Amino acid sequence: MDHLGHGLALDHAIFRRPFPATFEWTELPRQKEHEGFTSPLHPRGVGETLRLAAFETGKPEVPNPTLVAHEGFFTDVPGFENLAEGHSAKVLGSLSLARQGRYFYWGYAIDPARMTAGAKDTLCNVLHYMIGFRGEETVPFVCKTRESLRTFTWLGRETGYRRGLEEHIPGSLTPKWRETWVPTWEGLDAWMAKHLPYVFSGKGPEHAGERYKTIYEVDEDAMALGTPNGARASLERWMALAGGEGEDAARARRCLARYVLPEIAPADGKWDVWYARYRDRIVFVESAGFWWREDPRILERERRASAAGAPTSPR
Amino acid sequence: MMSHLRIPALLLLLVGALSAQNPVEVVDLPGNAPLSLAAVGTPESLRLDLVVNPDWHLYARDVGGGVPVSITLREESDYRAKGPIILPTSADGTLTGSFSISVPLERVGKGTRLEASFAFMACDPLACLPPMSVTLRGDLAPRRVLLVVGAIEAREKGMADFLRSRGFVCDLTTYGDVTPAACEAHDVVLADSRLFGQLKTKIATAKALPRTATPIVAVGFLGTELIEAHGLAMTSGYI
Repeated sequence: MDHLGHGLALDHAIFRRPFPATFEWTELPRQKEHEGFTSPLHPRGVGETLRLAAFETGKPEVPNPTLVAHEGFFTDVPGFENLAEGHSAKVLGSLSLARQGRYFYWGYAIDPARMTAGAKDTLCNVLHYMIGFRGEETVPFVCKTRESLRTFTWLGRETGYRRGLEEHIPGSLTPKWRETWVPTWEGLDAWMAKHLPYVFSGKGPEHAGERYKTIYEVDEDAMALGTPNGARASLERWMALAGGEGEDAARARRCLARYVLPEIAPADGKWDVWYARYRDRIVFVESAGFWWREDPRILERERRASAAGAPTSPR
Repeated sequence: MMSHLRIPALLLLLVGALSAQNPVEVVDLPGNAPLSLAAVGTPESLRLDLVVNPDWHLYARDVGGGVPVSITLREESDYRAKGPIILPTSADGTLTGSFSISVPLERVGKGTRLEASFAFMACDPLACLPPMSVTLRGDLAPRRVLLVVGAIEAREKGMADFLRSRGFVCDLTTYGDVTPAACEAHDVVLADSRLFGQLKTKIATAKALPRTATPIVAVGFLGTELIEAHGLAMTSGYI
């Protein structure tokens, strides 16, 4: 990532208050690496040209880190704010300005000798903006999302990089699922189409590795029920089945145990009562361990209301 | 030649530019108000930046029909107006397009809380909307930034000076010396990084930045490392 940014969320407070930020812009032809791709800040892809704002006065001697922020990669964190993309030679979707909870990532220099006028104003605005997030909670990071598996499909096809296909993806699976792997582009497409909606991780030591920190497994229960593990309709299906008997009910109960965070799951198994209470409070977050859990934004609002003496949770 | 009357106003503007520009919240702007409004404040001045929609105008003074704009400091505010509202020049008494208005302040309370109201009447060539009023609310205390760096050298001192020039109270420390108490005592922590290969601290030292309730702005390479070390997903895609 260099000294430039694009896809800036210019309506956001960090570009407007208290110092309206004005950038020098350059326009470049769309990069080959961007063709056919979208990103959170370019949901319809990049047009014929890419408009770039200068955050530093020139290209740094050493590239800044590239944070890959493809849809779902880790942007499933509730309240995550992706506010600018860095200019990367590698890919579209490299975030350079972002907020999660009380943390803000600034991907450029903060040396006034290197900052442009727009960057100086934006940095000051970021400091003001972040003051409002004291104590702000977010979800913990447990594992990468399933989207990181998909990275190797387009990266390999674009660059001819076959190690993802032959080594990284199978190395990121539990042993049983490595046996289902066919290391060809066609095999990859077929495997992804069939298994990706049922992939999960983050539940135990079998899902963490030395080389590949996140190890994925395919949920045979969810697959047998035809219930993609992150869908709300699947959660509702599991709850409807859980009270019954037979194989499907057993699978549903295992899915509920696997995906509803134990701290909020009903101890008495009364899922209908539980869901009436939690329906509007829960979110499924892959990067927090593939759990249905309480939305940290709701918890934060309640924490602040409680601190201010207002009535709190409906729980 | 610049008049004597204009010099104090210019000085006021310069001083204002160097003081902390704290955001001021605009509360309950009516949905049908044909304008956008943002406000910032310093202990010396409250400034409103307005953009009035095309074909609409406000009134700078009484021209026999519309109600002129006004800013009123409320009793519960720790500040009161030190002088009259400062408006852009207007030959016909109307305010159109983009412009700023301000009012000089003086602190009269023990705190730093600003509570004010802004009243205006918006008209187009045919008719006027009923008079409107919004609440302006903010804390004008200077913001305290803890700048954490690898080593304190000329570059780092320049960064601290820059932040001070923008009105922040900025304290400078290193990753090796920073304490939880120091983080908690500031409004925001700014965790710096030089470029990879030019770091002035060990990565492990930066990753050990205290966990704190204080918001952290993490910069560059060390920023990715410390955010990951603090258990957030945000930098998990680092390549």
